[in-house]
Amino acid sequence: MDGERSGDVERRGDVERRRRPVGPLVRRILRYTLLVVAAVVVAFPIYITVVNALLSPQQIAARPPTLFPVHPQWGAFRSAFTLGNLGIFLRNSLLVTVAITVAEVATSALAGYAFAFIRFPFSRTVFVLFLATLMIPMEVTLVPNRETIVALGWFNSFPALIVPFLASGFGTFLFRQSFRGVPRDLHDAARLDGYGHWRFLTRVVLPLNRPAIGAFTVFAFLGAWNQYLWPLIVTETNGVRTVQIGLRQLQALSINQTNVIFAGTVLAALPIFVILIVFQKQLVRGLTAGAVKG
Amino acid sequence: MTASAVTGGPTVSPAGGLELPRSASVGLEGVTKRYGDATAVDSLTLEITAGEFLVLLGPSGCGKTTALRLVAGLEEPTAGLIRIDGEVVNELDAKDRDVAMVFQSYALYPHLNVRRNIEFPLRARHVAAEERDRLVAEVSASLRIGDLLDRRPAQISGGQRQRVALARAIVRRPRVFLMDEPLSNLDAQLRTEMRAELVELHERLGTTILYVTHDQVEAMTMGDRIAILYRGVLQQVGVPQEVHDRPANAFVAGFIGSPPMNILRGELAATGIADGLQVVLPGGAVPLPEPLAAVARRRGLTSLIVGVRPEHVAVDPAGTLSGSVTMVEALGHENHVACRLEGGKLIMVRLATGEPVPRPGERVTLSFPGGRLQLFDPVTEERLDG
Repeated sequence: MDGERSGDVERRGDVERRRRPVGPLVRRILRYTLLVVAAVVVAFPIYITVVNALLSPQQIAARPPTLFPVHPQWGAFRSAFTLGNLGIFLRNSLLVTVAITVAEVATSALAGYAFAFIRFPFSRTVFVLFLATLMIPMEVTLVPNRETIVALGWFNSFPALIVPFLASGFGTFLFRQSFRGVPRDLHDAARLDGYGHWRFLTRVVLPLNRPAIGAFTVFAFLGAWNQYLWPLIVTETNGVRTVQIGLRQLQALSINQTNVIFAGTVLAALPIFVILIVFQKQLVRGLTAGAVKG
Repeated sequence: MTASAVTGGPTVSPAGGLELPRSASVGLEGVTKRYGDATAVDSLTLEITAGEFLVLLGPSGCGKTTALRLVAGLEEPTAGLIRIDGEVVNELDAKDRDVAMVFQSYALYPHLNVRRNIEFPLRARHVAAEERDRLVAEVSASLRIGDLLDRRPAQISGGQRQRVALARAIVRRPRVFLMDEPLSNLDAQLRTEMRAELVELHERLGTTILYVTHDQVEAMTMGDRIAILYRGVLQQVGVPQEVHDRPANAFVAGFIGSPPMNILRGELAATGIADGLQVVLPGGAVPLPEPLAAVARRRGLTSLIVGVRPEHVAVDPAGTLSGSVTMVEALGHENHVACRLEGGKLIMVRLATGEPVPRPGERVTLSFPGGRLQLFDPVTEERLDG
């Protein structure tokens, strides 16, 4: 299978090479200069965060700033764990985020499939209701949701952090739109070939919509990982609190150790980088999927 | 539910060879399909015997694809009964009807290679891997796609995709094949080749085929029988020659044949010789030969519809029908001449090579040698027989 996929990529590469405009050199230099500047603007803060995590607080405060750690000091990372209990926070975040991401992708795929392929009464109305949830800002539901969580006896527990995010209106919408790109003939063919809804979903629809699924997985992961306000108001002990709150605490604890704050930030951002790298290809294709799908 | 009776059959034969025929009759009894106010299929009654190659022919939107989907179980009829092998299957799920369909779009799974595409229905039926491999090898060899098994659908040509789609249908040994315009996406030469191959395949497999097309050449050359649909209503069903020679109504007459039959409306008048009749057409009058005149007299008609095949029209200096040539199509083995009659009506003339061909713009007179006309009722457009 992998061999075939690389075959696809090769062919796509051919097409791109053929299409590349052979504009005047100046325009190309200008374009790349602009891209380089943009890349630096985006990447520099990340770079400097990593650098600062490897410097001593004195080096960070020094002017002109140090742009390259000649003698990197890894101690700040250890301190982030010992001083800020970052290990527990990271574990909690990972648990909550993975649970939310898996659940959101699963429920959105199922709901999106139902809206795309199954005819049922009031499906349009229900779909509009799903969409309507996208219009409600999180701030509006914050207080009633917290009340609900408290009433359920879930305050300061993992269910409080996970359950409210098990389904996603946006994900349902995204998957429904993407799934509708699957030709009706494929659905009919699969039905005649002996596949029911579940197997058609898993064997045909999901593999064909990998870009959308990849994009949404990243989106869901980022959203869950970066949550701050909700975990803050439904938890009170570090045993269940997530890394964003942990970072905040770390900031308060290590005012004089800026390098530890930077190290904590790097650690908190690490999973996001990993997920971005893993899903990079899918993400780019997901963002452009609508443009090329026939 | 009587699903077990159908699914319990030997979907994959133990012997597995392509030589083992499996086929079932298909019956439609007053089958109607409505979408809101629109009627796609109107009380269709049709019997397809086991092993028959029946072509459902009609212009686009005539309901032929809907009829096919009804048999497949992809649509539910509004009324009527559908039988496969004598058993009513209305309540049976598509996957339990033991029919395979070949789609106009081929409907290959783009993310799977050819082998996995062909295997797809076998995997659904949990056929063991060894048996699967054997069946795929056998079918792909017989369709000459054995060297494509590791490619994806996007990496093979249209004709090859068509074969893969056929292989996927054949591999599970269904009782009935449903084919929805399977050749219409192919270029002309490939289409001719595939026509012959499909006929050969049918002879080899002996499986019932219900084949939908709008192409009357496909219908004439491939079908054991042709069923012509128009606006959801069955117009005629019969063997190709019968449909060609004795069309049941003016629609069928005007649809079958290449170029199709000329359909002209005319008034009946006396010739003045004995009680002979002639038809007054837009460009002149033509005598009605006696057996046909007798029919017209018996029915007391004053007007009628005349059908005449292009090969039964001649450019004749002594002809009584006048018009001017608007177009000449030289096909090599024959020439098609379009003449506009004085009333504005076009009439096609088919001339064999060797016959003198008039030029566009030339004024000509036409005759119907031998009086090989077909008459249709002016109101119902039904065929008038003796």
